[in-house]
Amino acid sequence: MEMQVSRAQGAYIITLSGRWDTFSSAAFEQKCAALIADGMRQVVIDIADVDYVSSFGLRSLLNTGKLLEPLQGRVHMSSLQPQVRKVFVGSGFSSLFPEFPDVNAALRAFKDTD
Amino acid sequence: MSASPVPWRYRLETRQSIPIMVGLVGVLSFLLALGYLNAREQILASARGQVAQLVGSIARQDDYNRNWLERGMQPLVRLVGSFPRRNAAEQQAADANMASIISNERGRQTVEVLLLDGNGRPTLRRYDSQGLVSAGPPVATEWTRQRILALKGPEWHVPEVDAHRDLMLRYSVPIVGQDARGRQANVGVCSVNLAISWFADRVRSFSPFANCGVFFLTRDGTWTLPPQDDVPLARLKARMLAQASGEDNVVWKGRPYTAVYMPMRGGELRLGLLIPRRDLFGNLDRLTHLLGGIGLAVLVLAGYGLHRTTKALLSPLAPLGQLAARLAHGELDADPKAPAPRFARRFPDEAQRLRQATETLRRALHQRVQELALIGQTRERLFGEMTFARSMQEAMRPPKLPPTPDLAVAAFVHTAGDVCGDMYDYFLQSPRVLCCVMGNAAAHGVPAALLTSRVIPLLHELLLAGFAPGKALESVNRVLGPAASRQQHMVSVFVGLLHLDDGLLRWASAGHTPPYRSLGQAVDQLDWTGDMPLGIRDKARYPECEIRLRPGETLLFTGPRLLSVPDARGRRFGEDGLRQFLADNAEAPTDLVRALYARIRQHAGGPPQDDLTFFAVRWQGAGLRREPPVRDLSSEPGLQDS
Repeated sequence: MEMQVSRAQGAYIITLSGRWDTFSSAAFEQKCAALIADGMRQVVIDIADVDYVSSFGLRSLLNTGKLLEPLQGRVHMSSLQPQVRKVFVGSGFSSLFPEFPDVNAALRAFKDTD
Repeated sequence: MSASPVPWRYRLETRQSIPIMVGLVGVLSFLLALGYLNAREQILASARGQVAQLVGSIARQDDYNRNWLERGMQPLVRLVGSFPRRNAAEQQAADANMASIISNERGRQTVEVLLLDGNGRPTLRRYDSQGLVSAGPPVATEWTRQRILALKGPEWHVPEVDAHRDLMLRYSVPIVGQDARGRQANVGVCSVNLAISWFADRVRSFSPFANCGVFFLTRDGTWTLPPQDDVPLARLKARMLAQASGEDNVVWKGRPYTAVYMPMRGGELRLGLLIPRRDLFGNLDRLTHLLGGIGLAVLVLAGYGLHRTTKALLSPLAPLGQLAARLAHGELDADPKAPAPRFARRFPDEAQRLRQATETLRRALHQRVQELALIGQTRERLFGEMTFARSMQEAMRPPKLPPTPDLAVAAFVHTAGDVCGDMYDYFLQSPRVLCCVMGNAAAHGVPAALLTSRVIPLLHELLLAGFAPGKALESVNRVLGPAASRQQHMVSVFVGLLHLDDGLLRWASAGHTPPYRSLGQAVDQLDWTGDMPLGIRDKARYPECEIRLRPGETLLFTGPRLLSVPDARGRRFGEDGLRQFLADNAEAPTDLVRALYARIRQHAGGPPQDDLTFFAVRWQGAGLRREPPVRDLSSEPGLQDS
């Protein structure tokens, strides 16, 4: 899985591509932990190019959310492919991490709720 | 034998020093020979130069001497011409006059007057600057009567160099008078010998010529050396006749000489010098011997110094070599003996530094070996724990169901690692209610085994106690929640109860993939409940859903890994692939799971790289009787049949 980090409107955008599985989830967790240590509080995770999320991927997302929760941080998901969205919503993660059709919508949602 | 710890085979004098010394001797000898030959050539060139100067000096003085002699001879010849007519008194006066003429002329000269009397007998009179030296019949003379009579005019003789190295020029003029018959004829000959002393000075000015012999050689092979030298110097004469100038090594009078010769008077003569080789190259030979001796002494001293230095350098290294050898044999507790710091003030103590580095290396190796041993022990312990975890996980696999005519169940487990996170269970809650559990712990190895070994028995007992699927999941979540939350683990589980009497399936799901149902070509998936996995929220609720199966319908329980198996190009097996497989395969569960695994292997091009667990349940419908599977497939890898 490839991971790119950018910033827009005061939030971080982490763009993932490939398989979000056992092997890549550890790197994702470490990267997010480092970004949180650097001050990341609002992050949009763009998984438009992710075609598979394993239970390890979901766990790494959950752990990132747990790190941000005491810091009043938020995670927004954007651009989920249908098969990924099926797992994401079906396993209840959409109640923990709001999903949006695209990155802009996810960014706007931060402002709307501020 | 030396007490040095350095073995002899490492001593420089036996190994490296010999070729080094031989090389140095060779280089020194070559340089010495080169210098000797070059110096010898320089000396020869200098000798040639000196001979050339002699030739040049003779040439410059030759015309002057000739003119002087020819002019100076005229009064002598006139005076001598009157000798035959003089009486004794007149002759005495003439002799005095001769001495006067001779003494007035330049150089040291003598005059010889050979007169033939009327009977043809010769009389020789010798004069020098003091007057008449001798008179009387000649004892030995080159002049015969015939030669005197045949002399047509003045004659120049081949010059000679006498014992004093004076150049002797000789000029002879016939004395014409009346013979016994009264005719004009030669009645005598007058020869003037001019000794040129500067020649001797010029020769002596070059020290190697101090004992040389000077001679002249004419074109017809006549030289001024004694006739007895013709045989021993025949080769030199031949070379001088064939070659105008050059050098040759000859033995003359039993001693070695170097002959240097050059042409003069337009090639009419050759001037040759026989130079004793000892005079010519003596200094060079002595210098060469001195340098050779000094070089040899320096080489011996250098070799000895090299040997001592190398021995001093190698001595501290020997224990280090022994230490390294012991380390190589695994004796990591070897303690190196500290070498004595020789030449510590003159040389950097590299041996000490090397000893310290070796000691550091030894300690590091010792520590590394201990770490490796610990790692090996840990690995062995972990392997044992993994083996135990795997055996525990295998022990938790559901036992065979009692024969139930309207039910067939088969499971397939493919483990890529030692312990996978997949869990499944099926059992009869009551004779007509089948509990089906399918789940996955987001972990591998021992954590996965611990989680599954905790969840599966809990669910099993709760369901056996009559708990509904949702309540059972909520109970397990409450038990699991705090610990799983701290450990950042989560478990997705699907729990369903199939009532065999009417095909009613009630289920609840904690974030796990719902099973697929198939009947003929119709394939569908149960709805996702949207409830999150266990271990995330303590007070999570798991509402239940229910459907009613149709007789003959098959439920395939699996997880998301089955759908994500990639092929060689990275394309996932996917939900479409599974739906197509179920639509195309309506076999009994045992054959179905086996065919499904074969299809997955075909898709992946080999065994899947990830854990795979799936099981199939087929409900035939109440009142239908089917024979339970009779084949014992439990021995096939991954296949469990109920």
